[in-house]
This record gives sequence, structure tokens and C-alpha cells, in this order.
Amino acid sequence: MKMMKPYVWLQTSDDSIQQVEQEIAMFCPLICQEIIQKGMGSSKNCAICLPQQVSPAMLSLILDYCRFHQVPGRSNKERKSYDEKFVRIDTERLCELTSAADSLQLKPLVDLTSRALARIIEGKTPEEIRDIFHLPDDLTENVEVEEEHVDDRSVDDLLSFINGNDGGKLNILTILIFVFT
Amino acid sequence: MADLISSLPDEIICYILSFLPSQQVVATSVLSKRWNLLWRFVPSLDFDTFNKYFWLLIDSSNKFSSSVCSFLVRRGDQPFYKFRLKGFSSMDVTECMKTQIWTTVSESGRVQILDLYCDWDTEIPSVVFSFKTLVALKLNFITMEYISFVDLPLLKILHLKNIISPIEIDLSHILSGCPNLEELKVKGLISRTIEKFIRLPKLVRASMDDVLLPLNFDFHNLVQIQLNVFPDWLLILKVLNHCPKLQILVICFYKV
Repeated sequence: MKMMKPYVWLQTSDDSIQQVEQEIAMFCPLICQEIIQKGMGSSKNCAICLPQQVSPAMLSLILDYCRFHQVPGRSNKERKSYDEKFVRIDTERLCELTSAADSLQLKPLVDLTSRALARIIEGKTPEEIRDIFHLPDDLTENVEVEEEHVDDRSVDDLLSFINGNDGGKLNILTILIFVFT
Repeated sequence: MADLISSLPDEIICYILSFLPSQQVVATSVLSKRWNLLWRFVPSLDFDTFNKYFWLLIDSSNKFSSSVCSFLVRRGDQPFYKFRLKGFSSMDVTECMKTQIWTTVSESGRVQILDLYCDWDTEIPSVVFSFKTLVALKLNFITMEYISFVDLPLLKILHLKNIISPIEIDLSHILSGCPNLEELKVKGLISRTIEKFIRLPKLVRASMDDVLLPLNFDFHNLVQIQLNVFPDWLLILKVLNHCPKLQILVICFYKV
């Protein structure tokens, strides 16, 4: 008779609970600790509460990754090509995946997605990086406020202000002020 | 749309940045308030003039040295895990930089990757040969202080090219301190003849000059070897006899 595979119950960030093969889920150190140290996950009532970063979509991606790498006897080449394809997803999901993998302490996946993100950033200007990650520009917001205050000053005043003694520190902001005038 | 990267902890952002060239890492300081200070905690220094993006961010070789110096000074004593510095010529490496490199390298006891390509004016302290965390050590065009002690238990990759030292380097002495070596490349090294028996059971890839070739060795897992030799077939045959698992043999020789 074939032994039934042990399962573990996991609760994701949207409060939904699902059953997962224990062997695969144990690949994540955080889940492993919960099972071994706290005896969690054995039934629906004591499902392991996963960190906020782990949505059902991310959990399913992470389990795919674990399922592939858990199989013994795969060659390094196979693993590498799987990994390459695995991170060919859009930047938003890549960020979410990094965050989820980090919260589950799944180091090899954090390493993989971090390298993929680094490749996306490499060679890009700060402006391009800001666009890719939708980073709000909170450093230059101050300048815009200052703009309103100094509105009545002449361009010459502004220029001498910028090129004055503090000019060295204001290099980056200078460009932005020119855009506005 | 929400900031995609904001949910990532600082350590992960620093880890992502550690794969990038240092000038680009510093450039991220203008992104936002959060990123403004992050670059200092990125555990890597990576100035590589051979990188295709390098000259996009630094417009002249004069700035190379000053960038590296100010990077090191402004960063303070945050530990490095990667230290890669590849200059172009002696022009790029100023006195200030040489002192900075010496000090930073001496204090990088936790470094895992040390990759230096400078010029012979740049001297490196021998203490790097006892950095227990080192996984990859690549030195090219470097002056080496006399090496008295070697203990590199985790080292997997060792490249020693065009090294000069006040006293001849004993390659067998260095190798005996690297029990886990997987890749060895040695070129243009003035070394004493090797008499000692060397056992490198994990060595898979090797590339070396014939004068350095240890004749008394056990490389039983070697898969790939490149020999830069005068065509001495007897010597090559001897090598082949010592490498039962060899798959790739590359011979480079100069016609006389």
C-alpha cells in the first residue's frame, strides 16, 4: 500500500487556507521551524500563518520553485535553466516575489530574484530606475516648495544663490530648478 | 501606482545593489530620502574600468582615483564582502588611492571576494592570505608583501597573475593553505621551484606556466588544464599521467 503523503496547512495574507505537500513546504526555513518547533500546520484549525508579504499567488510561485528544486538528481544545467526562466516575470511581481521569499527565509530564491533585479537596474540612470520602480521623488519635493517661496526672486538672484558658497551641495538640485524657470 | 520596492527591507535592497558597479550604487542616493543613505551599507566596492557601463558615469581617468578615494572615505568602516578594483594604468592609481587600498584591504577581514587589477606600484599586505572568509582571490599586476602565512580554508578560486614580490613567492606554500581550491590560474609569477607534494583534491580547472608546474602533485579531480609551455611533450605526458579525470587539455606555446 502506498503511504499517503503528509500535508501541511498554510494560511496566506488574504486569510485563505490551503493544503500543501509537507515535503515541499519544508523547503522554506520559516515553515520548517513552525512545523518542527511549534508543531503547527497539522490541521486546518492550526494552520501556519504566513507573513503578510506572502499572497496566494506568490505562495504558488514559491512552491513551484521548491517543487522543482526538491527533486533529487537534477543536473546543475537543468536547475540553472529553470531558474533563468523562473525569474522572467514583470518587475512588479519580481519585487513581490523577493519580498515574499525573504519573509520565508528562502535564501536561494532571494539570491536569484535579487540578481535578476540587479540586472534590471544595471546601466540605468536614476531617472530610469525611478520609472521602473515607481519611486516617489521625495528629495526634490522640498525644492518645489522652495520654488514657491522664492517665486518673486529674479532668475539672476536664483543663479547666484545656486552658484554661491553652498553650490557644491546643491549640484543635483540645480538641474531641477532650471527645468522650472 | 505604489512604489514597488518599498516593501523590501534595507538589507535586501543593499544586497541587490551589491551586484552593481559602485558608481551606480552611489548614483542611487539621489532617488529618494530612503535611498539617500543606503549606498553606504552596500557591502561591496566594485570599480571596474573594463565594465561597459563604467565610462557612462565617470568621464575621465582623473576622476577614477578621486571617485574611489571619496567612496572609501564617505563610506566609513562598513564591512565589505566584495572588493573589486580594476584600474586602467598606473595613471589611474594615485598615492592617496594606494594608501586607501592598503588600509581598506588590511581591515577587510570578512571579505569573500577580493579582485584587484592595478599596477605594480600598488602593494598589497600579505595579511590577505589569512582572510578565512575569502572564497575568491584574484590578483593581477600587484606587488605582494612577503607572504609568511597562508590560511584560506574556504578559498575556491585563486588567480595570481603578473605578481611581483620582494622575495620569490613559493607557490607550493600558498597552495598548501588552500585545501578547497577548485580553480587555479597562475601566470607571470616568479616562483621558486616546487618540490613539495601538493594535494588539491577539489581542483577542477587549472591554468599555469610550465616553470610553475609542480611535478609532485595529486590533482586527481582535475577536469580542465591549460598549460602555457614551450613544447615539451615529455612534461605534458607527465602531467596527463597525474590527472586521470582530465577532459580538456589546452596547450599554449610560443614558436621559437
